[in-house]
Amino acid sequence: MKSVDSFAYKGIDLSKFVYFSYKTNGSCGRKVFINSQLLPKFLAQVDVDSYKGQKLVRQVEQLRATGGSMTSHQNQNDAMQHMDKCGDISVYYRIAALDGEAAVYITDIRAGAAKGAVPGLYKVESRGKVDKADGAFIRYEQAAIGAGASVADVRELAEPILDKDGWGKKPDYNLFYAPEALTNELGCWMTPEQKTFDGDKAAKELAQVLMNTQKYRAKQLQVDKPARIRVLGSGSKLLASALDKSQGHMDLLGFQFIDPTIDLQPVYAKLERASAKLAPQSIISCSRQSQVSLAVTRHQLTAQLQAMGRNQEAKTVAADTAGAVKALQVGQGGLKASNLTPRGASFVDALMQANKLGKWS
Amino acid sequence: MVELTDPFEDGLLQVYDLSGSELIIPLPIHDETPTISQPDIDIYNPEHLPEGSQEGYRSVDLLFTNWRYDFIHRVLTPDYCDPAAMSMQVILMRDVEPFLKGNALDADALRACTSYRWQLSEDKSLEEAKITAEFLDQPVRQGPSYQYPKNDDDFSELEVDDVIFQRVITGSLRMDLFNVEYYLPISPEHYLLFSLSPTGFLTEDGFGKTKEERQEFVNQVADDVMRQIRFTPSAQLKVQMAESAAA
Repeated sequence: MKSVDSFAYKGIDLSKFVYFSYKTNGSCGRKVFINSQLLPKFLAQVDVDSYKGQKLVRQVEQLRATGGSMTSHQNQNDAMQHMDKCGDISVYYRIAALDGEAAVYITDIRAGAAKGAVPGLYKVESRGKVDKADGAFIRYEQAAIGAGASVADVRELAEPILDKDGWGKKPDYNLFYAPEALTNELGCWMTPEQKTFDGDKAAKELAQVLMNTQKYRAKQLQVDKPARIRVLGSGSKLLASALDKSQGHMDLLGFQFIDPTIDLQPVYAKLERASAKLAPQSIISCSRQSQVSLAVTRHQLTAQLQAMGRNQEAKTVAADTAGAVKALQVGQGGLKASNLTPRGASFVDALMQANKLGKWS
Repeated sequence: MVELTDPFEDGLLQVYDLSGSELIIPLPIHDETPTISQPDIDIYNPEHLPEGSQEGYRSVDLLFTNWRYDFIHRVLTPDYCDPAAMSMQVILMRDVEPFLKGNALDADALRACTSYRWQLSEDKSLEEAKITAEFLDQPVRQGPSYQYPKNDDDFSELEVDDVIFQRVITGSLRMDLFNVEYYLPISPEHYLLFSLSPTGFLTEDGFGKTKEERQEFVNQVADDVMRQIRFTPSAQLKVQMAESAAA
């Protein structure tokens, strides 16, 4: 058998592909390969020890029989590119016939989203009254930037975190919403080539909101306290992109990152240059998705935090991500090139090992 | 007519004990864990209703969850988005004057309370539009902000196993579809608010040609969700209901 690493196909470096699991090595049905660089992404979105995770693994294994069939989505521009939905996760793959045998190459996985919610600035009042914001600026003292399947999805994340007033009442706040699919396409350290126009447009809008808010607070409200802006989950990707497109001072804007899923170091560098404010504890990371994400770039991030004089926070980040770093090391150790034979370790083996040894707490 | 998957098929039941009254809500399968309050709540204990206000009303979010729908017969399409999503927020509210005038178990008083609260939101929204126009140096936005109940005709009733919910269609006129809200009194001063908020349900996916048709489809979906909810009044509540009916 010819090993897979001697191929390059349609811009995909096949040397990175490994068998998805021992069941997909070609002994029964088509071979199913997966890009080994998807390990952090898989770890972040799927808990393989759970029932849901196991179900997903089985469904992906079934691609050896069902991949590219009538129930699969097919790319209109490229008949060889397909997508199948396995629960909430969309699995993207190509079917390529190399050496006369067709095989499935999984190139990406993504969490899904729902249609119909327009990205932009909203206002949320007590008892869940949601409306489009009147102008492109944050009028309230608190705001959130987030991405999800729907506006309600992001509200659910935001509302437990917002500061309540003295009576315990939830505040009115502004919400900058982007559909989950859109922020995924903005890319981060995993898939930087997936930038699209739509994401660009939302980022431009957010940049405008940030600049207008600075002006509103300085000229209209004439306050010196910063607006408290919580950046939720993959909303951090949107903010990073918006900061590239904005200019001027931001000293009346304060930021706090909840479960960020992006390389934060460049974001912090930009915030520092714009003299934006940060919450006392500016990074709160609880989700596994966020910890895996932070773990990949934690050296750069801790260095940046130290450079900003936030030594205590640098230590917190290092401690928070220690478990995730270990999981990644264990996982990638199992995916060396020598293991690419049909009997070697598969993606699922590495995933299980990473999941077990790098304990999440 | 499109057929949607049932997110509640494998769902678990969340049971609440509200001072003896039992509320059962099925939880749909969703990738995020829903936000659920403690299940046993003494509705007369202010500590169990942590959100307060200067005016004296208190509340607690019993549940916040959302889920997505997919077509049962999925068609070949490169678009990977789900056609629709719905969110549900359940709030337990203890209301006071001037919002609630009278006994919440009296349908008229509960309806008046709902209308009044929405009227206040509308007033506030117009006030904010003025401030915005001033800052942006633009003309003030004209016309109403919200669709909300103004009189009895705007309410309808949904009966599920002898339990009657007051149903009302509300929301921002600038958003695509409206929310469906259901109100259920559980004492002379407490009521439950179920707010179901749709996303998606677009014409291109076959949910109706006009906005009215799509809203009607959403209303049916929301009613179907509510029909899965069970409420059993406590002995005390039964007495209070009988008293309210007699008066």
